Amino acid sequence: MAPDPPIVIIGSMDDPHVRRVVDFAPRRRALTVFDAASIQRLSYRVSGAMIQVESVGGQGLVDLGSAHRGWIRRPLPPAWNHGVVTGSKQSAINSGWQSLVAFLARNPRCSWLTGFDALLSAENKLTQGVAASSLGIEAPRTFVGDVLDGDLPDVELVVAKPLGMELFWLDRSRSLKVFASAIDPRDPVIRAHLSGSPFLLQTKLTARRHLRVVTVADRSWAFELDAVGLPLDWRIDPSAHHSWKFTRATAIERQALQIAAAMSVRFSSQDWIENDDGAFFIDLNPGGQWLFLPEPHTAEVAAQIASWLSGDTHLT
Amino acid sequence: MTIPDIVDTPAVAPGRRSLYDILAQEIDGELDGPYLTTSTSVETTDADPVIVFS
Repeated sequence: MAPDPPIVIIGSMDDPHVRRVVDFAPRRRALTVFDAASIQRLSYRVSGAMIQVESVGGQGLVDLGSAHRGWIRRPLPPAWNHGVVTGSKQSAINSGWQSLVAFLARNPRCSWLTGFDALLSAENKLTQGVAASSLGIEAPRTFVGDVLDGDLPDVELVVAKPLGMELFWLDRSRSLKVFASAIDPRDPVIRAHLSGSPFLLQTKLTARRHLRVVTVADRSWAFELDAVGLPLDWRIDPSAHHSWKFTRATAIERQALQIAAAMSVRFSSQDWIENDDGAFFIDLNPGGQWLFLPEPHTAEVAAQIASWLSGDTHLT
Repeated sequence: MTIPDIVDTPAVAPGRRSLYDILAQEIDGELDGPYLTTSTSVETTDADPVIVFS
């Protein structure tokens, strides 16, 4: 009898999300876990006829050419390329590892929880907005551009978020982060800063509660956070990180699953805001965090991913 | 031949100001938790600058 096909996780065993899923994976299955950093410590062989990467369980090289399922959690570790100058020798070296992992993440013999290219596409907040709009799902009115006239309602405040990364480094120890911020679009100082990098400008919602919806295949979990007293971006307040409660939000969860399906992502961690007018889709993260949410539901999410990876869940 | 490890990369439109200049705020270690991100995986990671596969 042929051995059970291996499970592939692109990520790191240093990541608690990966370890949580691995805890639920069937022990009988060969498992390989790698990212662009950890694969440098593993054996691997790639040719026209084979794709093999060393397992984490001591079973040696795992044949990734056989039918299997995989989960792309994070191809690169958080500190990857930190301080590496574009065009330097080290950046060339790193690009080789990145290309190898990108190839493995596109292995067509593997059924991925979310495919690599779908994952890349789904990370773009503008793409997410288009998907929500096409489904008729409410989202804040959004504008990106260097001239504002007439593109947003004539309101005092809009919410600004970077289209690019939220965080950058001053040096190896000091970092700066851009949280969602309320700005006055009529302020000439603000207008003078619009051309240097594209930012999302969205109508400001007065949140009654924040919702985080996690989807895995056709299942969903909703969590709520009372917005009263919290800053515009709840992440600024550390107490909010542990104040989420499990809830049922049937209509929102159904829409969350619709957006995930429209973007071809079988895992998503989504942010929604509910105000007096209803619920609004804010953004979607195709590789997002869920372990800060309350148990036992975080375990249910991990178990569902593991179940899908082991083939117990249909390819929906 | 010595291969330099640092290669200067010219800035594009260096004089243009962005909202990064006025909205970015320094964060301490406690705020740099894993749940602080809204974006992970490839194009951006939890705590690091942009990384794009080509």
